[in-house]
Amino acid sequence: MSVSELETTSSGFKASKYNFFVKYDKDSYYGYNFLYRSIVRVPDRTYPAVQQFLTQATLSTELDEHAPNRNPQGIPESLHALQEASFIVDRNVDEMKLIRFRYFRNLFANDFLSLVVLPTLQCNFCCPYCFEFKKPMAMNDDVQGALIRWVEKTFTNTRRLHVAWFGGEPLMQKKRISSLTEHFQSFCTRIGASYESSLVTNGFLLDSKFQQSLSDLRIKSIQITLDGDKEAHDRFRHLKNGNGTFDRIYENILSFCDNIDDCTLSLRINCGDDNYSRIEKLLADFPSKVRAKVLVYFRWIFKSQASRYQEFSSKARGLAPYEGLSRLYRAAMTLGWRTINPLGQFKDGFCDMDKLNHFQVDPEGNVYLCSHSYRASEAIGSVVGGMGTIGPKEHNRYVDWYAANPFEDKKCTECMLLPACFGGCRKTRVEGGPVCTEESGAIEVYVNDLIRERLSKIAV
Amino acid sequence: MATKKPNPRSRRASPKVAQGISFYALVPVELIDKGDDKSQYGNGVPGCGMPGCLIMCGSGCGCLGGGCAAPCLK
Repeated sequence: MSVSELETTSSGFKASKYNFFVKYDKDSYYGYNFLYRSIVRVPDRTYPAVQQFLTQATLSTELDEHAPNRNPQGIPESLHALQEASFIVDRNVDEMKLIRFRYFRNLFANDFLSLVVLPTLQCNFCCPYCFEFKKPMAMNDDVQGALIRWVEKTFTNTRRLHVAWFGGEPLMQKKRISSLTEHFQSFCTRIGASYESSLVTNGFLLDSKFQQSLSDLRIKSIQITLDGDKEAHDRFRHLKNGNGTFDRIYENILSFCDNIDDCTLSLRINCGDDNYSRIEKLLADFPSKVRAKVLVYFRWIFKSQASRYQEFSSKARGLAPYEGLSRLYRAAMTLGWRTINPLGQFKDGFCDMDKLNHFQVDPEGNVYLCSHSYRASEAIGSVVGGMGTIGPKEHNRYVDWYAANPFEDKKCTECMLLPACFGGCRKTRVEGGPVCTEESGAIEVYVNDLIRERLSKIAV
Repeated sequence: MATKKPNPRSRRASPKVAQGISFYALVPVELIDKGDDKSQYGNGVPGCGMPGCLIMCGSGCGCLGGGCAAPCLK
């Protein structure tokens, strides 16, 4: 609706550059601050005054007679919330420096080791849009040993280790997951670090027996992908023999919700031209106990080299891609689902890969910085050969990866979304592609959804 | 998002705020969520890298609980 920016005044305050207001319902506007992730509600009748205050008011003495209930900092009582929520900040705060600080603190923190481990690049599914170059291989004992030796030798100072089990379909190698977990936990115990893991799975093998092992494996969050109701999902996400997978995944989700309390389950819904109209039916097909417990989010299917750049979502995306996702977020919330837009979370990077000590290891021991193809040519080294042998070509790629940042990009530094997206996908930026997120094309709609999401959490 | 730099003199001469709005009579703005209020002060994890963080700098200066800016160590 509007963006507010208050010049530094003769008093000690100015408006944050990252305030954004939307008309939320008939009685009120809501303000969201992208930098502090704070929210205020502004009664309809008060809104013009707030805008005036933020854009041109002075907090100097000339307001004294009109605002006798000022707090010690001089803010009228009716506007105290603007200060508490950092919509107005000390005039000396350099918000761009604060964003840079948070960005680089997160990027170069070295107390945290984040590993994505692929026990296999095989998958029991055959999804047409998959972005990986699949290989019929699984991690063997030699690679496992090399991976453990590399971690134990290199990261003795880490204070937290997080392992994300990925694939292929990682649950095709449950024993490998169990064995590696044992070693990682033992290592963390020896060095006094904490250990947690997460799992990205298609959900087919997430049966109740495996669910009982989640606690021992310290798997604290799981992501499953569904692509619409049974008909739409089975058309996309079927077994290699063509048999559908929806019913079994559905049962596994019900079982999870009945039996597991110390692990978060999220559903990623891949949206495309062929399934978009079936997604609301999927959301309605689950009972309320699932809607109340499971987090759901939506993303368009993207083109990839592995799927030969085939387009799966161009029609449904249209010219306003976020608005298509927004309709689904709102439908989900109306049905009682807990939604989680990844861009609205309390983090200081765009993605998990925005970490100095983030590595991905495939079944052959190749080490990558990002999970987008797992082609050996994109590896920066191998745990088998020892990670100290990065060649000049890989060295440059490694340095370029971490040198890339949004602060040399004028479009980013002038953008309201910078403290939320932190410049978008690092891989795309390094490769010179467009980095803006879908949300940037519909900020008002996005903020409205974000506020709905946060209010629903507060209500709980 | 236009940046306006009003002349303080002209602002005093044409005080829209003072003439049109009494902040005293406004229905108050309501705080819904303070959001990420640790964003300026470290992330709550010891070793977060805030200036003065004992774990990060390893100086052993004894500032724990005293000089550290990060609330996680207080």
